Amino acid sequence: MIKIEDIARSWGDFFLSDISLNIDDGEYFVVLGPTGAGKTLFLELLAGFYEPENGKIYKDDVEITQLPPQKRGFGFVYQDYMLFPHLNVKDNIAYGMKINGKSDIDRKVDELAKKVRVYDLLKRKPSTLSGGERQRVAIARALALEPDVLLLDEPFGSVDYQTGETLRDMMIDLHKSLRCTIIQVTHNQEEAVILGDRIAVMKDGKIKQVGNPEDIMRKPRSKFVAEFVGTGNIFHGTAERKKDVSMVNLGDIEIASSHDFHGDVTLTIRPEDIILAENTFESSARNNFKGKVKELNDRGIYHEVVVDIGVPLVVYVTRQSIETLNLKKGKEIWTIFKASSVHLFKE
Amino acid sequence: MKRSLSIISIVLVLTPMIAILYFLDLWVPLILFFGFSLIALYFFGVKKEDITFVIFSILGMFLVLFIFLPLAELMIDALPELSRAVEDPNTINAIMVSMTGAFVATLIGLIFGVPLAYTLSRKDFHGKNLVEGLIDLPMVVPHTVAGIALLVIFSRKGTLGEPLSAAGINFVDAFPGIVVAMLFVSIPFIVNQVREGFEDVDPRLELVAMSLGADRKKAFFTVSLPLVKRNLLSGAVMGWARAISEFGAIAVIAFYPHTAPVYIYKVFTEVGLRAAQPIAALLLLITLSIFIILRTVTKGGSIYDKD
Repeated sequence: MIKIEDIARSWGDFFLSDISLNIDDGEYFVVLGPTGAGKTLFLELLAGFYEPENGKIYKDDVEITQLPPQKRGFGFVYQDYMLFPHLNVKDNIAYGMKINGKSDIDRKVDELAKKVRVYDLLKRKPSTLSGGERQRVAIARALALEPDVLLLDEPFGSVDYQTGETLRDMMIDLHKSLRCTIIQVTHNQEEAVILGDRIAVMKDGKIKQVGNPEDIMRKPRSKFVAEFVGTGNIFHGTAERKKDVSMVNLGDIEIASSHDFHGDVTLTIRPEDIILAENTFESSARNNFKGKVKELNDRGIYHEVVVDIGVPLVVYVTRQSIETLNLKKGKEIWTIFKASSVHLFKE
Repeated sequence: MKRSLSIISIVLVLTPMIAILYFLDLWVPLILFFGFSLIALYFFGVKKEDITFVIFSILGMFLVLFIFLPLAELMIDALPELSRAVEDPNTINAIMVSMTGAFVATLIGLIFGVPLAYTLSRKDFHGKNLVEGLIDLPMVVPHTVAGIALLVIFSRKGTLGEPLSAAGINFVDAFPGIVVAMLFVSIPFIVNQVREGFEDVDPRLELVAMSLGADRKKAFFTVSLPLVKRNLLSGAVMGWARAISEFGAIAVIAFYPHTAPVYIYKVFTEVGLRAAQPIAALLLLITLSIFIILRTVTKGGSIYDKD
């Protein structure tokens, strides 16, 4: 287990501070945040490349805060690969084993190269490889010493979407078979949700929220997280407890939420949790509002419909629904969503 | 950029070469060359986009000729008498002193210069500008001034010279004096070249090496140093060439044993131009060959990715 206690480090004007986390053995932990949030720096602190000015890091209850990187045994993969340009693929992968005087290097390199599918490239120099191939080599090099902990800095950030997807699937398989702890940073929420057992959202050098993907995506605890993971439909209102629900007054309308809150709150509803219908119907959904379609936007694989129900409510629907409901600007339509889909938080 | 034999090649490369014919009194081919060039120019013309470069390269040609012609004429004039220079043991001795002195100076420069270059490329510290300026200083200090300064400190009564002469190392009119003078003038070339190399090596390569079990020293020797191989070589070549060419500082601190430039100067002042010419030509021939060979070795494609 890796325990991070309140670490901090400044870099000119930038501060990384108050970071406390527990990361379990074998966990796939993703640090999600926008560019400039300090994610890479956080990873470099964990690797021991830089020393924190404050706080402590433990691995299996042993403090490693001062331990130099070569004694930590954490694998590290940079976004731009950082393959040794003067060594061919084979020697890149073998580098760690040679430094540590391991035996049977050739066989292990072959095995690893097959695992990450770069076996045919062993004789090539890094400059002749594609981005995806370089990333595979960088991952193999980091895995060569069988580290307990693998640190990945935006590993799919420099390759095209398709290659990134293949690499991502490979990472999932590797994680399953190796059972090592992986800590990965990314700015891509889709990647975070697919890969992460847990996600920490980071902004301006601080952790804003830690939780499983479901929590992060549907139960943000701050406006920043809600906006960053695209929960959409963020409104401010006043909540009042009534029987089994909280009624949130947004001015013109009152929305029911199954979350227990009182007073000033922020409310979010994920656009895909809202149903559109010609008529309201009896259901367990507690929220039924009639409104006018204000906007229709083609988003490629889905459509975004903005319905004015007193507040502009964003709803995602399929192309099929657009046709069935004959949606167009100005049309009156019912929006229906459950009280349990209405997430509340105080900031 | 694609290399092509263009009008610029004719102006900057072929013209200086053809100009040699003038020294050989071969007028006919010389006139034929320029005649053909003009006719070709008339028929094929110059692309509009190239006109500026043609004018610029004609201006530049004068500089190229200015370097090339005196050296070429020296060689051609002295060629018949080159054997006389080779047979003179004093000449060979002087050249050997120059070569070994420059070699030792370059070696010392590398041993101390590489760590300095690495530190300067990796760390920012107060007063770094000062150190950088100091390293460049030998390029602007008049060589006789450098020689006087070195003489003051390395003479038998000098601050460093006294204890060292007690240990049996003398600098005045001795080989070590030649080495310190050569080292002094070649330091900027060695340090700056190597430093440029280290600056191109991403520090994160070393960090990754460390995550793979290398300590800083190992990361330096297995990653950074191999990556600046070319800069090491070119720094050494430039430092060596600078050391060979030094005259002023050496003449002040160690007139004896003669280095080649000192010997050439001595023959020139004591005997005359005719006698100095073949020796100069021989030195030119040797240094030029070594320079060209080493430059060819150190040039070539970069090992870095050009994405």
